[in-house]
Amino acid sequence: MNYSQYKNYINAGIFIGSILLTRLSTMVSPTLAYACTIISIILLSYLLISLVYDIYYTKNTYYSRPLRNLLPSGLIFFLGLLALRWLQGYFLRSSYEIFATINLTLITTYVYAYSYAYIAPRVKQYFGKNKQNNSD
Amino acid sequence: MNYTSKQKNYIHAAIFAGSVILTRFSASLPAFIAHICTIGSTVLLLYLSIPVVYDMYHRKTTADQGTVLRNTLLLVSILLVLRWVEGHFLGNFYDILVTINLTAIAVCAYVYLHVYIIPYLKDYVSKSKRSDDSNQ
Repeated sequence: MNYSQYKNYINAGIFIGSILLTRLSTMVSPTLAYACTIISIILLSYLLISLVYDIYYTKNTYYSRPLRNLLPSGLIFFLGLLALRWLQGYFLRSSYEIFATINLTLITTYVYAYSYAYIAPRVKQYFGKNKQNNSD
Repeated sequence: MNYTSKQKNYIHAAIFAGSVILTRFSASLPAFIAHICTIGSTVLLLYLSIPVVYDMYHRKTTADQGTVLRNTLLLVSILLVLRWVEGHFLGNFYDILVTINLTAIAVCAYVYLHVYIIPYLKDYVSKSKRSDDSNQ
């Protein structure tokens, strides 16, 4: 089986799995909630590491600019998320809330990085091509 | 009473800070007062959003309308998904109010950043570059 051929599907499956685990963790007993949140954190860490590796080394993404261009807006996004958790009164309230904060931060960071690395450049490319075709 | 633009900026900053503090306090207050604080904070944020929309549509900013609108929609959808993942999305009436309030805070912060703060910083950096060049 060629792994790279199915990599995008596997990663999408892992991401959906981690989202469902996070949602499930709000409906089950505290011990199970801990387990779900920690498994989700591990899955999301794997996805993020694999994405950063793709951007830096394999260059297998559509993102052509250096990764540091993503950092200022990513940092604002990250701080904004922590501020929202603080506003809700969940930030560092208990050990479970710390895990939940890490988990939710990882989810949004992955969505943000993935949309910049794969989705936004493709959309720009698509609209650029359409414009060219219209002008032709 | 007529305010200068500098005074207006201070008043808007104070209103934003007030609404954020109201939201933070509502997380640790009895239910009835929490409802009032959340509604008050949302009303303040709605009042803040009017001048931004006016400035955007009368081209009083260098920010690109389309980009700000697209990114705001993306931000709102990510925030709503996060509230669902946390298990607080449309759970009860108070959860609905908090969802609206937190979304309004994030949107206000994002739009202010892109409509006023980033163009101002860009302008400041280019002015200081030009003055450095002329000095050399």
